[in-house]
Amino acid sequence: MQQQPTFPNRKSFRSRKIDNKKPLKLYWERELDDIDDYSTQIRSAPPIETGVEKEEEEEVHLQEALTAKEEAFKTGKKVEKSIPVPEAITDLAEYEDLYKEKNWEDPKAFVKFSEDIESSTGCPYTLTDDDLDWIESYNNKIAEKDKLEEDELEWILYQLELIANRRLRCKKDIRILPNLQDMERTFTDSIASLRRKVRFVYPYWKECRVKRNGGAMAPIVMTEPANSQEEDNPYVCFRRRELKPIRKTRRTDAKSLEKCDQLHLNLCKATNVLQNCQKFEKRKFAFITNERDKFATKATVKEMGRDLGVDDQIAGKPPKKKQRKLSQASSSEKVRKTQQQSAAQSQIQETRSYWVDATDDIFEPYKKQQPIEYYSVFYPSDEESVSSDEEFIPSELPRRIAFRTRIGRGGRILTDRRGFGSHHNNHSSKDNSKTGKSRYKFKYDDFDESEIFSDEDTNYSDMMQIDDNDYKER
Amino acid sequence: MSELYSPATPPYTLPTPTSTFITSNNIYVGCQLYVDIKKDGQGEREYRKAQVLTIREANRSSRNNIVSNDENNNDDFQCEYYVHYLEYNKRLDEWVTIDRIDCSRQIEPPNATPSVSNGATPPPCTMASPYLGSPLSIGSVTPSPSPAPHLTREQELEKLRHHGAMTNSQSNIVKVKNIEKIQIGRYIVSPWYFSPYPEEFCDEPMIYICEYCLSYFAKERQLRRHLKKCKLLHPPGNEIYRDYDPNISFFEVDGHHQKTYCRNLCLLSKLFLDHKTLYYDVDPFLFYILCVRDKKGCHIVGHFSKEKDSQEGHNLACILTLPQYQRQGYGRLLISFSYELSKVEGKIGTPEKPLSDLGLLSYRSYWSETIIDLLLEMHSNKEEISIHDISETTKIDPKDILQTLQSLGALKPYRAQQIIFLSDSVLAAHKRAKKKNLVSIDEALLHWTPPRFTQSQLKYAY
Repeated sequence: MQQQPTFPNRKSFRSRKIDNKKPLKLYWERELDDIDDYSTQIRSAPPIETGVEKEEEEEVHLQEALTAKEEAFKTGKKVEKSIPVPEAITDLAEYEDLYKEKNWEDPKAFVKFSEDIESSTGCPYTLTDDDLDWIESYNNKIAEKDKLEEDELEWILYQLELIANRRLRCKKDIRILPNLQDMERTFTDSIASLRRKVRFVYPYWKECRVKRNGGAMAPIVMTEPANSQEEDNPYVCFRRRELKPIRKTRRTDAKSLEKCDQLHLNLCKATNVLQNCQKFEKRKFAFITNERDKFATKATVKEMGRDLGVDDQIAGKPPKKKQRKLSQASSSEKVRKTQQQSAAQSQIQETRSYWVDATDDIFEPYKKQQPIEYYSVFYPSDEESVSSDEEFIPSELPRRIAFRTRIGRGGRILTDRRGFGSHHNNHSSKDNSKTGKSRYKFKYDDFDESEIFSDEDTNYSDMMQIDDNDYKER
Repeated sequence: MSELYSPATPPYTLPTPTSTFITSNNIYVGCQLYVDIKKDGQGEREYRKAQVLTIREANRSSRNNIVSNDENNNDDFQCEYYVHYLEYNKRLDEWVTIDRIDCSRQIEPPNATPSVSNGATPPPCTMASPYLGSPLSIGSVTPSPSPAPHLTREQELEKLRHHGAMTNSQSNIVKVKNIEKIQIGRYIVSPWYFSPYPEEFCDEPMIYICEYCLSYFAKERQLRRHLKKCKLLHPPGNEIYRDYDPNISFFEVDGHHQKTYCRNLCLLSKLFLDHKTLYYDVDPFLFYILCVRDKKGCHIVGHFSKEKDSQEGHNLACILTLPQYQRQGYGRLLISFSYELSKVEGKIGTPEKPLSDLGLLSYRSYWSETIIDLLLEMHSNKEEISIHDISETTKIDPKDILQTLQSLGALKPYRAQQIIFLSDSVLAAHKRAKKKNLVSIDEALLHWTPPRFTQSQLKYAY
C-alpha cells in the first residue's frame, strides 16, 4: 500500500472508519460530475449491525422490504414492499352497543390522573355466567332478608378470592384454602356489612375452587413460580426484582463519616457567617439611626441658633477663619513648591548645558525599594517645623524615627524601627552628636535615608514630576 | 430452500434417504414439510417449506387436546398441525390441517435443513423446557439454526434484572401462539405471538379486553358488566401532549404507580411483540401511550416503554402500534415522540435491541427522513457537518446515523476525503416520503419535564 493520503486526485480510496467529530462536506448529485469515478473504486464498507436478531434478519419479507428500499434510493422509483402480517382485524358490529355509555369531551386543561386505577374501575372481580346463574337460583329459594344483590356477591367473591390468592401464592392446593371463620374475619371496614352474608356464598365459592383444583375463579397472572421446577414457566411473569443489598465496608463507612463531618463543619460555618451578617446589619442600623439623630439634632441646633441670632460656629458650621488659614498655608506652600520646581528646572537646564547626556535620562529617579515603602514616618512634635522649612539634607536629620509593622511567623506582630538610636543619642548629649552622626551616616545607603524621610509633600517627589522621561510615561 | 415450491418446478430431490411420503400418521413434531400458504385454498397452491411445532386434535382448540407423537398413529380424529414457515416471521405461524399439506412430497427430518449442520442431534436448547413430561412438551423441536453466540439463561436473567425489556432467547413453549383472538374496542384482532395471559384463557376462543383499563375477560357478558363499572376513559396517567388536528394525545404512566394497568398493557403488547419479555415486573419503566380521542374517550393506538434510568442510553424499550392502527404513520409518530423526549432531556438515545423487522423499517425511515431534513438545511447554508453534530441536533445515536447514511449510500469517498453525498433518487424518495407523513409531532404541544427519581426510588431496578 504505497498510497499517499495527501494526493487529491487519487481514485482508489480505502474506506476507513469515519471520525464522528470530523466535519464532512455535503454534496448533492448535481454538484459533482465526477463522483462516479471515485465511487466505483470504493470497497464496500462492512455493514453496520441493524439491531435485528441475526436469524430474523434473514427472513424473506424483511430482506425484500430492505432491498425494495435500497432500490428506491438507487433508482428514485417508487418501490415499496411491506411485511405481511396476519390479517384478521374486523370491525365489531356491537361496538356502539357495548360502549354506549361512554362519553368523552376534551377537558380544557391537560388530563392529570394519579389515583389508583382500582378506584375508577369498580370491583376488580367481575361476575361470570356461572356466578349469575348461581345467584339467580339462590335468590329464588332463600328468604327475602338473605337475598343477595349482584354487586354484593361480586364484592364478597372478590374478597374471598383476594384472601385465598394471598394464601395460595400461585399454588394450586385446595387443602390450604382458608375456612369460613378465617374469611369472615377479614370482612372489615367498608365491607363489614357484607360479613353476615359470607356464609351463604362461601360453600359456592369453595365448590368452584375445588372444581378448579384450587385455581382462582377469575384467572390471575402467575407472578411467582409455584415450585422450583416451574422457574422457567413462561406463564410466570412480572416477578419481583430482588433488591441487591448495598455492600457495607469499613471504607464506605469511614467515607460517609468524613462526609458527615464535612457537612457539619460547612453548616456551622454558614451559621456563623449568617450570625455575623446579622450583627453587622444591626450595627449598621444603629449607626444610621445615630447619624439621623445627629443630623436632626444639628438641624435643631442650627434652627435655634438662627432664631436666636447666635454665631454660626455654635450652629455647627465649620469655622471659616480656620479654613482661610489653611487655604493660605496651602497656597503659600504651592508657591513655594512652584518656586522649588522652577529652581530645580533651571538647575537641570544648567546642568544639561554642560553635560552631554549619554544615558536615556540622567534624572532618572531611584526606584524605591519595596520594603521601605512600608515605613511610615513618625514626627516628634518639636521637630515639625523643621521638616517643612529647612532645606532637605538627609544626613542632617538622622533623628527621624520610622516604623513599620509586619507579621512574622505564627502571627506575631513585629515592629521594625529606624532612626531611634540617633534620636536618643542626640538628646542625651550634644557632644556625641557628631560621632553619632558619623556613626549612622554610613549605616544605611544614602537613598535609603532620603526615602525614609521623604513623604509625598517633599520636593524630591516634585522633582520627579519634572523629569522628562517620567512625564512621558504618565 | 427459500424458493417457493409450485407444481411446475421439478421434483425436489431427497435430502436424506430416510425421507418418506406423508400421511397423517407419520407427521411428527419437528418434521419439515411443504404447506400451502394460502388460507382460502382457492386458485393455484403455493407451497412453502415449514416445520411442525406441535400437533393437536382438530376442531377442539383446547390445548389439553394436544396429542403426543405416540398417539398420532390413531386415525380416529383429525389433527391440526402448528407450522412455522421457514424464513418467515413467527407471526405467520399457524394451525393447518392435512389438506393444506403437500402429501406428494417426502417428509423431512428436522436436521434436513442444509443450514443446520449440527448432525442428527438437535443443538442443545438454551432454555430447558419447563414442561417436560406434559403433553405440551415440544422439546424435540429442533430450534432453527442459531449460530450467534447466545447468552445462557442465567446471564440473560442477570442482564434483565438490571435493565431492559427485550430478550433474545426464548423457550419452546412460547413459540406457539396461545391466544386465539382478542376483542378490543371496536376491533377483533388475531394475536401474533405468545403472551402469558393466565393459562385458563388459552382455552377461550376470544379474550375480551376493556379498551380503557385493558382488563381482560373470558366472556362478553363479563366485559359488559365491567364496562358498566369502569369509569376510566383514558390511560391512568398524565396527559403530556395534545394535538387537535388530528385528535391525538400522549399519556405518561409510571409502572410503579399503575401496576395493574401497566401489566395489562404489557400482556396486550406481548401479543404483538416477539422479543418482549415479561419476566420481571414493570416498576422500572415509564409507559407513553398514544391515544386517539373521540366522543367515546381516548382509544389506545400504541405505546412505547422507557426505562426510568437506562444504563445503556436507551430512550425506548418496547414500541408497538396495535395492528388495527398500523400503516397509518403512528409508529413513526411514536418514534418521533421518543426522540422529542430525548431532546428535552438533552440526551442522545437509541432503542433497545433486538429490533423487530417492522421496528427496523420504521426506525430506518424515521432516521433517514430526519437526517436528510437536517442535511438539506445545512446544505442550503453551505455548511459542513460531522456525525457528532447530526447526533447532537437530532439526538439519534451516531451508530444509528452511520447505519442510516450507509443504507442511503450517502457516505462516499471523493478526492481522498469522506463526503456526505445525496443522490437525486434519494432526494426524490425523501420528498415522496415527506408527503406521506400525515401526522407529525409538534414540539410546542409537548408539556413535559423529565420525571426525576431518587436513587432509592430506582432501587427495585437492581
